[in-house]
Amino acid sequence: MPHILVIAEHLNGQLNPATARTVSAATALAAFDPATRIDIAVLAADPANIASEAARINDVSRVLAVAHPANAHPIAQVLAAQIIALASDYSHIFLKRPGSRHRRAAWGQSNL
Amino acid sequence: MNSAQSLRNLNDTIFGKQSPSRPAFLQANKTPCMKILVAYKRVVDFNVRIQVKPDGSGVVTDGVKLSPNPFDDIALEQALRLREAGLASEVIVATIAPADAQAHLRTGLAMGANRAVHVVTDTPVQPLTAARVLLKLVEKEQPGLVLLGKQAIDHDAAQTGQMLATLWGRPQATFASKLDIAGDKATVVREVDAGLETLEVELPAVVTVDLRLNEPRFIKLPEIMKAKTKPLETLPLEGLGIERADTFTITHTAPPARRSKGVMVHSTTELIAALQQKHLL
Repeated sequence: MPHILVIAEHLNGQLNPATARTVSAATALAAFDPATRIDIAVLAADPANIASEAARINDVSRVLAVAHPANAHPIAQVLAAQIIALASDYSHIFLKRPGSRHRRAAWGQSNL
Repeated sequence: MNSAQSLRNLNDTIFGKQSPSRPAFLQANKTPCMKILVAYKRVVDFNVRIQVKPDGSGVVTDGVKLSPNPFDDIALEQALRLREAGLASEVIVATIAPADAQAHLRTGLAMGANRAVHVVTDTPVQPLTAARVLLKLVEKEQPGLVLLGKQAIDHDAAQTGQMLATLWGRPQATFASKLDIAGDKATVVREVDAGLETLEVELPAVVTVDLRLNEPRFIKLPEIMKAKTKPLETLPLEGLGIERADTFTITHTAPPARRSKGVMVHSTTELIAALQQKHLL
C-alpha cells in the first residue's frame, strides 16, 4: 500500500501555495489505490502555524511537524537528513521541485 | 642599503629567492595547491531544434551538433578564473561519455583546463551513476573544490552535484551566482525563489553554478593547438569498481503540445468575456 509524504514549502512562517498543488499531484498517484495515505511534513524552527495551514489542504491525512532550530536556515544538508529519517515509512516522497531551489537541492540528496 | 632592502636580503637568505620554496607554514593560505575538478558533460547544442523520433523512443541525436553543456562551460570558466587568481593550482575536466568524446574534452582543455579525464561508457548514465563515477575521481584526485553546471540541458535533472556532495559527505552550495574563496571557506551567493541567499561552506565542497556566475571565454586558435598535447586520461567506466544505478527508465518521449493560436480581442469587455469563458476570471 503506497504512502505518500509531501514536504511542505514555506517561507517566513507562511505556507507556500505550491504545497497544495504538490498535494494534488500526489492525489493523482493516490487515485490508483484508494487506501493511499497522504501526509505532509513541515520542517521548520517553529512549525505550528504552517502545520495548521497545511492541515487545511484537502486529502491530507496527517501533518508531521518537525520543530528544530536548525530549520531556521533550511539548507539542503539540514533538510535532507530529516527527509531521509522520515522516508522509511513512505513509498513516495513528493517535493515541489522546479524553481524551488531549496527543496530541489534536498531532492537530489534524498533521492539516494 | 636601506632597511627594506636589508629585510629582502634577509628573506632571500632564509627562504631562498623563489617564493614557492618558502615553508608551507609561511604561505598566506594553503589554497593555491588546491585542485579543481570540473564535471564537463557533452550534450546536444542548445541551438539545435530538438526532433523527437516518430516512434517516441527518444530524440534524434544522429548528425546533430554536440557541445559542452552551457552550465558546465560556466563551471569551467569559474575554475579557470580561480586558478588565474592564484587560488587553485590545477583545473581538471572530466566527462562520462562514449569513446568519441575526446574532441569534447579537448574543447575544455583549449578553454584552459590543465588536463582531462575521460570515463568511457557507451550507454547513457543517469545522475546517480554519474555521481558515483565523480566520487571515484574525487577520491583519486583529492580536489579542494568540485564545480558542476547546475543541470545539464539534455535531461534537466539537476541532481548529480547534490548526489555527489552527499556520497562524498561534503558541503554543497547549488545554483551559485557568485563564488568567493578565502582560506578554506567558500562564500556562495545562490539564486533562490525568495531572492538571493548567501552560504558559507567549508572546503572541499561541491558547488553547482547558475547562468549569472560568469560569461565563459571564447577559445583562441593557439589554445586549440596547445590543447592537443595536454594530458587526457582514459578510464573505462566498468574498471572503476562502481555499481551502475539505472534507477529509472524513459518509457516514452513526446514533443510538447503545439501552442494554439491566440485570439485577438478589440475591447476590454471582450477580453473580460473571453477570460470568463475560460474560467480565468
